[in-house]
Amino acid sequence: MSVGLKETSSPLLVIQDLEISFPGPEPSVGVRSASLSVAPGTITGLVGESGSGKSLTCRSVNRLIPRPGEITNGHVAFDGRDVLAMSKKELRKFRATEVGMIFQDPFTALNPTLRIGKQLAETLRVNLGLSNAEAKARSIELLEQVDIPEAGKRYSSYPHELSGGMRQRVMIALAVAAGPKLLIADEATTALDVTTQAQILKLLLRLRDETGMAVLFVSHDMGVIAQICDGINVMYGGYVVEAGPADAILRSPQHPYTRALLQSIPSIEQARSGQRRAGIPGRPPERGEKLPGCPFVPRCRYATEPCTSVPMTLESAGPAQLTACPIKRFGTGRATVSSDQRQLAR
Amino acid sequence: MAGYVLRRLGLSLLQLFGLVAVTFLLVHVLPGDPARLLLGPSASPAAVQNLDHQMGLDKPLGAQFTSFFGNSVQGHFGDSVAFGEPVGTLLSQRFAASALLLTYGLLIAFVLGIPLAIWAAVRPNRTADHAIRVFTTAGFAMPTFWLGLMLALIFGLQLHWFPSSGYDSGAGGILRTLTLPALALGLSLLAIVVRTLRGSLRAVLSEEYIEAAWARGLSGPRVIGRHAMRNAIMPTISVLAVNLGFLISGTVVIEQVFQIPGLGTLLVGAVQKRDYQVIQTLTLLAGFTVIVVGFLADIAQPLLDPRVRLRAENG
Amino acid sequence: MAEIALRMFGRPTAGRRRRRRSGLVVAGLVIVGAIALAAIAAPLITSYHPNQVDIAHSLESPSGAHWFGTDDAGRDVFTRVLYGARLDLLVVVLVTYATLVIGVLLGSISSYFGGWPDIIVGRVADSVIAFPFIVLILAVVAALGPGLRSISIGILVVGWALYARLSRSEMLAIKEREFMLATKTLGYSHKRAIFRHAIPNLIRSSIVYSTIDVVGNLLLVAAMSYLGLGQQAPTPDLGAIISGGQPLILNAWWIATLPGVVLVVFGLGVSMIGDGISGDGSK
Repeated sequence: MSVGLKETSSPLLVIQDLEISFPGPEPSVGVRSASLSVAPGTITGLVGESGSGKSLTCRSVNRLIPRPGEITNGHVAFDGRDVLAMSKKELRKFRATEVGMIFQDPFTALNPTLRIGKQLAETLRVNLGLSNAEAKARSIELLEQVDIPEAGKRYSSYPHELSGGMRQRVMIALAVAAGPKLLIADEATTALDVTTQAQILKLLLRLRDETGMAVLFVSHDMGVIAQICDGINVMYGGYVVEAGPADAILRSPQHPYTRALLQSIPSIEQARSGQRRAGIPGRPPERGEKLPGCPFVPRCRYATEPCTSVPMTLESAGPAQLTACPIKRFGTGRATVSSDQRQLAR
Repeated sequence: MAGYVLRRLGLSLLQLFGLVAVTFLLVHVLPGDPARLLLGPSASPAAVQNLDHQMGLDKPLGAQFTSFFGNSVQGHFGDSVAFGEPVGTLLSQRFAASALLLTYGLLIAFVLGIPLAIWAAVRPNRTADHAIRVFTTAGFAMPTFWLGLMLALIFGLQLHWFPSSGYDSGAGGILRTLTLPALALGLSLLAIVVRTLRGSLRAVLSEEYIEAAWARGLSGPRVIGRHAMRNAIMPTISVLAVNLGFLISGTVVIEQVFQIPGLGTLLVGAVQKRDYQVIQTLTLLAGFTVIVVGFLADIAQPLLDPRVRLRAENG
Repeated sequence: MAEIALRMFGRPTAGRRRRRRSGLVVAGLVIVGAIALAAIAAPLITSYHPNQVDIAHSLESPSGAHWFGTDDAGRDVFTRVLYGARLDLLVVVLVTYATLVIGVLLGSISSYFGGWPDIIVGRVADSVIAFPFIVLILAVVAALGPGLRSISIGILVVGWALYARLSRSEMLAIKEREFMLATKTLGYSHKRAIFRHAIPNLIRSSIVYSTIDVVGNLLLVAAMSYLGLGQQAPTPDLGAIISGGQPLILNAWWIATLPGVVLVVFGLGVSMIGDGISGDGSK
């Protein structure tokens, strides 16, 4: 499903020039400049290493940024409304009915002392105003919708009685119970084994098809992102360095980091032929590190001097594709790499 | 689950046995003959021997212990020489006052402590948090009897809001006479309650399921009151059970300050008059209370926390 | 009492709060040091004798001549407080650290070797900790007569238990760590392993707790002397001064109030030190 079809409708979520910093005795910047958009009913990926700022960015949507971090610049617009300007009351309603969030660790994301049915029913009663009986019935329906077997019995289970995969499903049920327009999935499949991962991804796709819900899928795993996302945003060092429709990004990545990420996806052919996976040399920047220009310079094969003095903004690099790579934008480095250099890297 | 309860019960019974043994030994490892101490140095040997025989002190140690054990289990605590009444009677007369004071003090500690702990946990390291910590530490670092005295001075003698001593039964009487003493007790306990609860709340509030609750748009009171507290209250309760001893010690002293006719003043009086029957019995009673409460707290854990219940059922 | 404190002060931490914490420690030390020094150097500070009777000047409120006022026999309360604190502080500090030594030794050794003796030590320690302190001390005092000697014996009988429990659990954790296993492979004697290697590592939380224990024991001594079971007349004792002042409290509030204030300030100072060393629970 290509993004192009939905391009005509206005985007559901727009994040513009987001900056998130952490004041205090050792101030640091978690997100330097992030811009992305999510079209309604699409699955948009946000991929990057840990420390790239992707978790912070997605948390700006429902303003759940952990203290002492705060949004120091930028705009977040949801369905045309300014999220950052919402009052506490509006924000609560917003979180309750329009945006849902699921987390990484299924073992800690559910309250261990409450039965899962109660946790579901609570959301329905408090956020949608259902009566006790209605809430219970709808909760069981939701559990069935996320493929929990014997939903009626499971209603009274405690979280520790369920497997990791089932807990993740309950978490999804909780998040979509009020029918949000956007679901934020922060590393939602990272802690799961491959089989369960596949099941959850299938579930997300099904929910999208059945309810028209959009998903902002955050992960460090390019392989997973490649599987289900319609559009991909790549983050590094606090910047969104590339964005565009999935097939375009996967076919012709415009930023060296994206390219490196794609090369690091394990594939059966590679394993068979005994080639070593191309890792990315070097390490990602620390949160407090101030890097002029493109933060990927220390690890970039193609970088040259001018890459460090150019401001990082996203510019067009093809139909619907954006990149912040200084080389592409200003032609500051070697535009092509000789084949011997490519072989050296293996 | 039944196995867990039974094992716990066995442990408690063992502790009870140990308690009885130690209490018994207490009197018998003392220098001097209890009978002689009671009658005084000027008493005749015949009188001492008489009392010895009366108290059963001339029988072999083993036999003495058996009869002591048997008597204790049946609730025959003998007669108080100093007060001239059966110890059992003294206990039943004074039990209510002490029990009420203890409970009232505990109540105050919680009623004040829970909101303070929540406030400190939700806004950590701000002024309120620091102020609360200093305030509760002060309450802990001051002598309980002095605190009681100051409260009696200010609210009793100067403001005349409450009487500064004495005890009245009945709902109104209790509120009138026990409020100041309970306040002193509660304030000294406040530090434990607030610190423990704040600590476990901070830990719980950083858990993912709390973040998930915020993300669902649930309100502040609901997230903290329902989701967080359920998980945070357990450690506080078990800490309190362990600190029951501290509470009982405080009660003894406070009763003396406010002249409340409870078990505490009974104990102090018995110590001053060297009445071993009473001392022994009260020691037994105190130990018994602590063991029972400890047992109840251990049983409560699996009841309140489903994860502990699982372990209890399986192991 | 012990559990409270441990919950309050937690484990020692490192980190960037050092500056604030060491400020706390210094402030605490200043307070504690001032009071302790004053008590020890009592004869140098005050020119009165604690039992110097002066009926003409009885029940005078605090003034330049009498910092804490005088009592019903005209005795200078400040002097009595200093002299009373003297012996109390000395005894309490000695006894507390004696219980620390006993407890740490017992707890760490029994935990090191494990087995049945260790379980028994653990259970006994738990029971002792749970038991109401005062009841036990009162029983001991009843047996041995009032005075600091009986109270000290009582504290010794009971006070070791928390250090034992602390050391037991710390030793349990340390036992399996590499440096302890190394002592085995290097063929060190048990004695060396325990005293040179294990104890220096596990003693920290005991030392932090001992600061609170000193306060607790001091308050206990004060409570006992309030009940008339501490140092007997004519030696002044803080609790006795307070109880003596109780009937006079409306006319001469200073007798019962000020000695208590000294205790509170002392307690706060000690807890500041404890907070500073351990890094309080601010997370």
